[in-house]
Amino acid sequence: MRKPAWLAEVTVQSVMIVLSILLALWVDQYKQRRAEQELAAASLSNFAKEIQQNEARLDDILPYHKGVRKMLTGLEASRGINTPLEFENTVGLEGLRPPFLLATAWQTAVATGALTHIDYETVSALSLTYTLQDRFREESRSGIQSVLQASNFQPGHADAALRSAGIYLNDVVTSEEELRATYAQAVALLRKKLDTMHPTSGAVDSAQRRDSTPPPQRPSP
Amino acid sequence: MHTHPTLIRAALGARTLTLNASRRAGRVLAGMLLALATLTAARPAGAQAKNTGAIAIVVHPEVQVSNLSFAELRRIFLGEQQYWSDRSKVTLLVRAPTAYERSMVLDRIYKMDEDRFRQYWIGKMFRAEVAAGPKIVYSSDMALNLISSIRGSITFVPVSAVTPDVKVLRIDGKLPGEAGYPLQ
Repeated sequence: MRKPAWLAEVTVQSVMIVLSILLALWVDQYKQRRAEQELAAASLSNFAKEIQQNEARLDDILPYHKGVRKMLTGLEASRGINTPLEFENTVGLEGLRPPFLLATAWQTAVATGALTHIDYETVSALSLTYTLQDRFREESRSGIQSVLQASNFQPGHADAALRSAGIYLNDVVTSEEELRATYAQAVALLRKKLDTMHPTSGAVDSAQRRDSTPPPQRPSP
Repeated sequence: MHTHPTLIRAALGARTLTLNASRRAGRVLAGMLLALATLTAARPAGAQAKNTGAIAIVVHPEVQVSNLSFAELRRIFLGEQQYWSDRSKVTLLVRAPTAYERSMVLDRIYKMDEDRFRQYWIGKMFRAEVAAGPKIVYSSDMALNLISSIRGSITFVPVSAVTPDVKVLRIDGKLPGEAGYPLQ
């Protein structure tokens, strides 16, 4: 018995409609996945740039802090500072200040939900990096407060301020070196991830070149 | 017996005595000025050069540069050149505000006032052209101390403060005190 022609037509049309819907869903899903991947890539690139900037800031301040620490040791040994005013005029507070480190990439990634599109290993490494950075900031803040406490600046007792500043800078330099090592690992991980996602983008390299590595050899001025 | 002029004025209220005291003070002042002029004239030439207010540009002794043109010096102080020719990083140390040598450097090298100087470095940091602004030092001693311990560092100090353990740069081939040196 032959099937009526309209039944075949309806079947074909139904199949076409279902296929069209499935195709539309697949295209939508593909676009969404692509957007998520782009968000993740942009976020990783931001992390790389920011961590490299922070790394450059640490590279910039570390020799200065080490120099100030050495100077404090010399001053303490020679008992060259006796009054708070002498401390202020000789050491100042700027030399004790920690570097200004950014965390905007992390905050943006949390706010935009970009972290949910990044793999667990990378998120975990980034979380550790920014946690250490937060801890460094907190320690620096409390350390500088302990240097500035009034008892360190009693007339005739400026040596207490010197000793306290020396201990503080020792901690700061150690933390800066640890944080720098953490940044280096995070950057290596991010570079690997970005290379996998965009093998030819070179986003990390350009940021690195801009902030923390010397330019090609130039003739001596 | 010597009596304090104020007590004499209070006790006697004598106008003539006050006038005499003023004349005497004038004579003493003139004598002091004459003595000072004689002392200045008697100073050796080297000592005079130390008090001209010249600023020396000093670097860590291992920096492989001994002469800079004024334009190159400007580029370094403006953070446009951040590495020496041996690829070591330039660490710029700048005196805290109110020091006269800072005022001179801001005026001659940066050609900026304090506000513009601050805005300049904030802008550079914001654009990520530099990692951080110049490092602050509070005295010439601190500057020289840090110069001798930070490789690649550069700063400016009064010529009279220069010590042998730092390297003084020639600017446009001139040392501080020489005619045509731009920072005096």
